[in-house]
Amino acid sequence: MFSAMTKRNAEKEPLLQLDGVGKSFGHNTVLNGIDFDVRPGEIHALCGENGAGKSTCLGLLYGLHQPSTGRILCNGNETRIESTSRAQSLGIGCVFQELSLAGALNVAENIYAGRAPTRFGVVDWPELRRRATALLAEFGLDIDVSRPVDRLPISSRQIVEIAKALSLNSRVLLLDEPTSALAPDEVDALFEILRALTRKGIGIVYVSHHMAEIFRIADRITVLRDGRCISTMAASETSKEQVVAEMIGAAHPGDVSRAGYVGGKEVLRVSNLTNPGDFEDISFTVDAGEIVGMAGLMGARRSEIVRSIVGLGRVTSGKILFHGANVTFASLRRAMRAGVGFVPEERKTEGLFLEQSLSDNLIAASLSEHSTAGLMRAKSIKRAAQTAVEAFSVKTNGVSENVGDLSGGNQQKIMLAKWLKRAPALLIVEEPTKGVDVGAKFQIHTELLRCAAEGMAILVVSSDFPEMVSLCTRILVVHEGRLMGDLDAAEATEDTLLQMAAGTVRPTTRPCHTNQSGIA
Amino acid sequence: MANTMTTPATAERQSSLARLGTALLKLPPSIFVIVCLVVVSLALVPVLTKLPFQMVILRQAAPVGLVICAQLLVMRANSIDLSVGGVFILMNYLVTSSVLHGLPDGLVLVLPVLVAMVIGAINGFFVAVLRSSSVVVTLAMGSVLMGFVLLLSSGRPPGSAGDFIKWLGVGKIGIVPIAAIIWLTATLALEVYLRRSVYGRFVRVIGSNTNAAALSGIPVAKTLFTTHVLSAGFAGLGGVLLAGYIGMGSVKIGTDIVMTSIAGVILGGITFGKGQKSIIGAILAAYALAYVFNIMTALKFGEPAKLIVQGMIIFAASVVASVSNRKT
Repeated sequence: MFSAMTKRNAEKEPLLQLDGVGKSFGHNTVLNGIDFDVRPGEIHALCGENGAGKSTCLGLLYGLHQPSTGRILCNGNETRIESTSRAQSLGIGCVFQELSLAGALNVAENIYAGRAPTRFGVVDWPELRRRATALLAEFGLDIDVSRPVDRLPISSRQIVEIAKALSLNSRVLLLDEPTSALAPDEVDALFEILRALTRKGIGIVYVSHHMAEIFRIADRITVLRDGRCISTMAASETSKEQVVAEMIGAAHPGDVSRAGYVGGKEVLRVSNLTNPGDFEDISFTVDAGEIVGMAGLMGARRSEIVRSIVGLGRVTSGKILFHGANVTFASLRRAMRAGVGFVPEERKTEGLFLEQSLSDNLIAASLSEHSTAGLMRAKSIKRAAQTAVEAFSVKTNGVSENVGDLSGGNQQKIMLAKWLKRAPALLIVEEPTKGVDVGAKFQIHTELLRCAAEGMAILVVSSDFPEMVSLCTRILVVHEGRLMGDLDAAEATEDTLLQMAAGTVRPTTRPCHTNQSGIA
Repeated sequence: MANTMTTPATAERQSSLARLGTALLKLPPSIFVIVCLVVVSLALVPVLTKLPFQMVILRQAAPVGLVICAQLLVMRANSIDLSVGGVFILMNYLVTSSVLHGLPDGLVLVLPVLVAMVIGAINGFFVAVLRSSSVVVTLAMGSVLMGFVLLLSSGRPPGSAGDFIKWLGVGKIGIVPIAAIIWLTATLALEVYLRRSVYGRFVRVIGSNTNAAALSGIPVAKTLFTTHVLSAGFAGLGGVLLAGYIGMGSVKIGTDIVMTSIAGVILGGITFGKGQKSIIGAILAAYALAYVFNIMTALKFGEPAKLIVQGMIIFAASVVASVSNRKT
């Protein structure tokens, strides 16, 4: 069926096309000679590892970036898409991974943000609601359009985003990881909608690294690696294995391999941690030398859980034992003094001082170590920065370079190095390899494993399930603020994790509270 | 030899010209203002460029310079202090009324500054601990202080400042005004301290990204609090010097000092949080503002024209500042 559709589509003129497009940010080339197109009525998947250039491609198609070389064709004509509003007027809609809805506004207002129907110069509310309801009904979605968006479940928000993109009469829809927050049945519903859209002749660019989904929905698949087009094939003529192999490439440093973990002393024990509305009854342990993963979908409240442990959130009941002693850290500073490190998820807004130098960023969490009587010691700072740059092989023009000028992977290394140099007994890391290339990912994993081997207890919050399976000894799965399972990573697969994270599989027994140091 | 060097020398000159261009854009706008002012005064009132007059300008710049420095400090930490006008009025009241009468010279200087720091501490408590908006809190504080002084001084004849304070305000060592020495020593010492100290580092990273600072274990609240206290101390010192310069009690003094302090920060080339630029820009800004005032007085500008010109300069400075921020 797919091949028939592909053949039919192949005869049609592309709606949108990248022709030999390259893109550089400063001296950092992220895309090189990309040929890519989307035709009416097809779903064209764009695959690649983190950092392969998928998001930049979408950015070029949606007017967020301008190509450095090559051209963009829209309906066969060379076009400059200089802004997102230009993209929208060309009939290009986009839904990004990070939801961009205004939470306090209602569904209808969000869909028609800035384009509300007016009557006598004021917003025509009944008409606005009527249009929004009609639009959502096309998706088989029956939600009250006067509800504020932040009261909707994440999955419905995703649909609202898509509806918003389509309300612009889009001919092309760009979707960036649209299922990352969805449960399997919601994914099915979304795919129904996407198929209905293709029957209307809309072309869809579908960015994902989720193989099973891609092969369910895509007509054609293009693989990107290190900013280059590796292949474009009809989905029926390729296979998961081939696509994965192309994504990874020969230069892949491979997955890190976990050395046999022999069990150490318990460093962290959390019992029945609760903060109503956020999370309830969370219990787990992390031992010295162990890397424990915390998996979950968007909105699972993993961040709230770990932040409450390090003194950045509220807890109403439950206990935290650190090195066997009952603790409640009043602030992150207290937790740091006790020997806890915390690497936050958002490196640009939470982790780094972008317009400060690499060395200033590196020592920001250990200023007392580099000062005497309240004065900074410039030499010791420089030495520490150079050591870290070498240890992580950070690509930089020097330790006085602004961190904002480094690539994502190198920024991530700096953020991690900043905390590792404090040598905490317990390190909590959120999304350690979000948006970094495979090389940096391998290096970060290697460094985390080395630290664990030296006796650090590490808790990794990640949405990257394959990463968890290869890096962790145990994996905790969280769904909507509840612990769904505490698995031996050796037994976990991407699929079981996903099912549990989506809340479709209930644990047969209560998640264990016992120390799991028996795992070897 | 000159011939053989031509090609590399030309290339070098070109690249150094380009470098000069970018370097010029990074300079604080106050430098350009001063250059313009010197040209204007050479053409219209050349006597102003003579050394004695320059010293007069320097003396007038001192109180303004201290309050600009105070504003700069809080703005580096992404905060603001709009109560400096109220602080100036209070300082004037403390110095010229009989409250401190008969105390030793040192205390007459130190006590008002300490009072200013207590006001800074109250501001700091609201901003840092209760996380109130610094704009609202310090604006309210300025209003409270002004009303407070009006209440205390109502129905009384204005007093006059003691000899010691007057000496600080108008006295000279050689030809150099004492007020200018105090101003420059205090601001340069602060700058050196900010550059070298852990506290200065705290201020810098908080200004750069408050969120990331908190998540790096930087004591954000404590630093903000200290910054407000320290800043108010500098403003207080400026207020005392101005009271010494004027010599008598006044409740009008300092009403436009809030505006001037922010104008000075902008002229100095510093925007919110971007605490990288040097204090020199702010020092020159104070000097430029005092210079403008003198030129206009010499040219017999009336009060309305002065206000308009002052406003225009601030407009121009903010345009230069935004252009240079975009380029860098």
